[in-house]
Amino acid sequence: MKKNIKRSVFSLVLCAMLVFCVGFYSSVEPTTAWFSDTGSQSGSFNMDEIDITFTGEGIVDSQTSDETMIELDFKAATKAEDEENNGEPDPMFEHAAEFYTFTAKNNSTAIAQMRINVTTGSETDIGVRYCVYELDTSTPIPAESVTLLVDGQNDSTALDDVYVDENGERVLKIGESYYDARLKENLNNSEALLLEAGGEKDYCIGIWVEYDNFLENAVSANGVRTLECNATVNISATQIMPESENG
Amino acid sequence: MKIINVIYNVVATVIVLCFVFTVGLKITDTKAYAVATPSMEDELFEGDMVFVRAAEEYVPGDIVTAKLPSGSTFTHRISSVDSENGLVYTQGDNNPQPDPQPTAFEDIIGKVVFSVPTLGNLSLKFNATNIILVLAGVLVLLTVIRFVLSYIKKPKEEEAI
Repeated sequence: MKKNIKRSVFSLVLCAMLVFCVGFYSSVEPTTAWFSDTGSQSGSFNMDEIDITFTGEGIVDSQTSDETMIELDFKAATKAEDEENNGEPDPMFEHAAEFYTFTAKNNSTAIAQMRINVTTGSETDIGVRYCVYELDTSTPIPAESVTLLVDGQNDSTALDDVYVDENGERVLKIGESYYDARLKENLNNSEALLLEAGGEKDYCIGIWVEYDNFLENAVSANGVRTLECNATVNISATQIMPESENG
Repeated sequence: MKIINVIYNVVATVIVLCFVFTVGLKITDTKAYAVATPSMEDELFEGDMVFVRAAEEYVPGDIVTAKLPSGSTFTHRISSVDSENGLVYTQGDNNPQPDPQPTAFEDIIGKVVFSVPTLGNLSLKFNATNIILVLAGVLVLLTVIRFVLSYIKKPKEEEAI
């Protein structure tokens, strides 16, 4: 009798242990994932659900598509002066970067990520670099009377901030680590830009050219060196799959 | 009868070991997560359960579980570490592109120390509350039946004597 009671009590304890274990493992959280539309997860995405509208000058073909041609016309490079140019420093230039703003709107019901890629079609590196950043219109861009701010070191061509000079022109402030973090290779993809479902944001692409490449590829005419090329802004957008619910 | 006892003992041993293992997870602060997507194939499959423990250091190649801004979690492999800014860059083994944003060190829950295939299906495919209620009910009922049967059987044995 006692043995039976002990066995029954032990069985009840075993039951409790089993219920505890099953309860534990049946209530663990799921882990989700970031996906692209080329991954193995099923899903559909239409580019039309993302509207890209370019603004600003220099746009050859502004349309809501994933590819836009831009004519780049650099008359300067990202360096204040070249002390090795026959011992005479080059003058500071007023125009060393191009800026293109665009508005992206996500009309879909899921968060999307965009990547911007700028290509020139040139097989060699002509020194074109770019950076994409979000325009925060709530924070006014400082209007300081500078035309070009550069870092004196040859290898420091980072895009740190954007200023608007007294003429209303945007110029670059060149820093250090920003460049290293953003551009590991020539004309690489930007970091992914996230756009919430139904969200709308303004972005800006800043494009400039490296000084050494500019010297090598620029064409001199009437005492002015100019580097002209066509660039294509490629925008790829993917949809991020929603989280799975643990029913 | 002997076979029933053997089965009972084996089942009891498995349950006790499982219980001890689960309690051990709590003691060692190891967390369990169910892999809900195939982004980490062929290392981790949908339905697997990963066991995650915080580490002092994370290096490229580690599979980590981290918190997303939305509050949910993801489990991917570290591709690079930015110690200066306290960030890790991750990518799913089965994803063609890296994850869209880096993860801060403080958002990393831990490193995957081991995984168990298919165990995660328990939480992914079934409602936990229902499982517990049904299982508890069945087990309690079986135990009560067994207890009652043992009482019925005892007087009959005494009568036979």
